[in-house]
Amino acid sequence: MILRTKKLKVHFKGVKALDGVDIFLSRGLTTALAGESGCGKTTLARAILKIHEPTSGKIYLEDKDIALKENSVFLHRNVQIVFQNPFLSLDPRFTIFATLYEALTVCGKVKKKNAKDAIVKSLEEVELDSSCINRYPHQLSGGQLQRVCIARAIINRPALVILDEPTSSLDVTTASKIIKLLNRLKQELKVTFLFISHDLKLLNKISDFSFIMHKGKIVEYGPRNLVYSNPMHPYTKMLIDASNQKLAAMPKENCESPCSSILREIEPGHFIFCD
Amino acid sequence: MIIECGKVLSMKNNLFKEIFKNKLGFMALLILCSLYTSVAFAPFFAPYSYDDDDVLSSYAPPTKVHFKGIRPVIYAKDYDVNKYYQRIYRENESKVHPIKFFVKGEKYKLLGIECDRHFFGTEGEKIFLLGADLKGRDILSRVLYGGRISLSIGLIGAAISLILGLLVGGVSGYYGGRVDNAIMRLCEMMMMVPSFYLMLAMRAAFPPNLTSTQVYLLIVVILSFIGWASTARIIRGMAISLREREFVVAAKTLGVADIKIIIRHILPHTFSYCIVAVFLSIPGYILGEAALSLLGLGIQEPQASWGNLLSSAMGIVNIRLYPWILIPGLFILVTVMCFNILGETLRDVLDPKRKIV
Repeated sequence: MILRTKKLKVHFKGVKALDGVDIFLSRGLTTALAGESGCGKTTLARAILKIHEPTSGKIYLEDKDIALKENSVFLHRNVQIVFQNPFLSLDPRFTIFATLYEALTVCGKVKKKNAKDAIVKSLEEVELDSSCINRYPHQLSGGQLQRVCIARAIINRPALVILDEPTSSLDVTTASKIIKLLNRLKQELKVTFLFISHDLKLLNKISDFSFIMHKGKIVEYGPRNLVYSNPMHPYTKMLIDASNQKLAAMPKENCESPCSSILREIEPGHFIFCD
Repeated sequence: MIIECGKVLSMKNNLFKEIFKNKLGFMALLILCSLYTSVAFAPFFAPYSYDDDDVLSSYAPPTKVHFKGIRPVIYAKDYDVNKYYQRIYRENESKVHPIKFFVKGEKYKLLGIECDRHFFGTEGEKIFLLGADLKGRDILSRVLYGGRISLSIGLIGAAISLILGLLVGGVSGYYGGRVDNAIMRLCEMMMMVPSFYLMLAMRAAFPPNLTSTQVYLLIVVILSFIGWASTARIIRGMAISLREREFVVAAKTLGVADIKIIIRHILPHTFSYCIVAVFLSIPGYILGEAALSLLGLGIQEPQASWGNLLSSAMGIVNIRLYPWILIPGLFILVTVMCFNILGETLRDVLDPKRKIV
C-alpha cells in the first residue's frame, strides 16, 4: 500500500469538504475516485499534496506521516498532480523548457546540457516532439499542453501521480489519446495513479479499484469490476445510471440518499456504507 | 491587470509602436529622454559649473540672443544702481560677443574622461540664458546640475520602493493568514500618517550637518520608505488571486521553494501594473525632494537641486523683481507632467480595456 488516509477531515468555515475519509492506494494500480462535482474529490487530492491543511485525521505515504515537516521533501518527491485544465496549469510566461527545467531542478542542481537531454527524453515519453521545447503554452494545443503537464509530473519519477480530471477539458479524441498515453506510462514506469473523475464510463475502462465519494464521505469501494457491474449503494447506482443517461427514470429520493456509517462487505472485497 | 502570455508577447513588440502612435505620450517620452540626456551630460551642456559665482552678475536677467546675419551674438552688459540700491542691467551694444559652439571652458570629468569643451559659450562676457541668481551663478547650469539629483532621485526612489513593495506585498499575499495581517496593519500605519509630516519627522531624526552624498542617500531612503506601503497593498491583492492559480499550485506540489514561487511565478504577473505604477509615482519623488530641499532640509548649497533652486524664490519680493528664478519650477512642472502623461499612455497600451475614449 502506497498511500492511506485515516479519518481525514477538511472543513472550510463550516463546510465539511471532507468528513472522515479513509482511502488506500495499492502500489502499481490505478485507483479511481468518483463522485459528482463538489463532493470533495479535488479537496482530497489537495489535502494529500498538503495544499489544504487537514482539520483532523492523518495521511500516510509509505507509512510516513506527511504532516511532519521532515517528510515534506519525501512527499514532493513521490507525489505529483496533473490538473484538469492544462491551459491554466502552466505558467504562461515560461517556455516548455523552463517549466520542465524547474521541475527537474527541484530535487537538486542539474547541468543545463544534461537537463536538456532529460527534458527531451521526458517529452518523447509523452509523445511530444522536441521542437516545442522553446515554445510558450499559448503556442500549443490543449492536448499538447496536457502532455507537457504529464511530463512535468513524471519527470522526477514519482511513485504516485494524482490525475485530477485530466481529460475533462479536452475533446473526445484528444482525451482518448491521453488515456492511452496514461495506460502506457503506467505499464512502462510502474507508477501508481489516483484517477479523479466524474465520468464513470471512463473510470470503468482505466481503473483497477474504485472509491465512490458523496458529500465528503466514501460511500462504496471495491475492485472496479464489482463496483461498476454490481453497484449496491443507491448513490453509486444513481451515478452509473446518470452516466448511462437514465437520469429521468431515477427515483428522486435516491439522489439524496444519506450516508450511513456502517461498513458492510457485500461480496469479497466490495464494501458499501449502509444501514 | 493580470495579463496572459500571448498578450504579453504581442505587447512587447507593440509597446513602442503604440506609444509612438499616441502623440502626447510620444512627446512626453521625447522630452523626458532629452531631459535625462542633458542632465547626464550636464558638464558638457552647461556653459559653467554649478558653483561658478560672479558677484558682478548678481540677479542678471536672461541674456538676450541677437543675430548678426546668421551668427548668434550677445551684447556686453553694464549696470546702474537705482535709488533702492538694486542693479539695473542694460545691454552695451558697442561690445559684441559671439556665441561659440564646442567652446573651451572650465575643465570637468565626464565618464572618467577629462574634458574642457562645452556645448556653447562666449568669451569675455558671461552668457545667462535663463538668468543668474543672487551670487551670479548661471541658472541654466544649476538647473542642469540640479536635474542630476532631482531626476535620479525619482528613478532610484521609485525603484527601491517598488522592489520593497513587490517583496513585501508578494510575501504578504502568498502566505496570507497572520503574516498578511501583520504586514497589512503595518502598511496601514505607514499610510495613515500624512506623508509630508512623516518625511519631515524622518529627516529630523537624522543630524542636520551631513555631506551632500549622505543627504542624497538619506532623501532616497526617506522617500522610498514612505512610498512602498501603497504598492505593497496592491501587489498583495494581486498575489492573493495569483496564488490560487493552478500553475502556482503546480509549482508548490513540485516542491519549489516559496520565495522562488513568489519571485518567478507571482511577481512577474504584476509587472504590467508595476510599469504604470512606477511612472505615475516618480513625480511624487521628484516633488518630495523638491519640498525637502525647498525647506532647506534636503540638498544643501552650493550643491544644486531643483528644490533648493526654488528656495531662493520663496520671498514675494524676489519673485516680483527677478521672476527668472522661478524657472527651475517650470522644469519640475514639465517633468512631472511628462511622467504622468507617459504613465497614462502606458496604462492605456498595457490595459486597453481601461482606455477612455
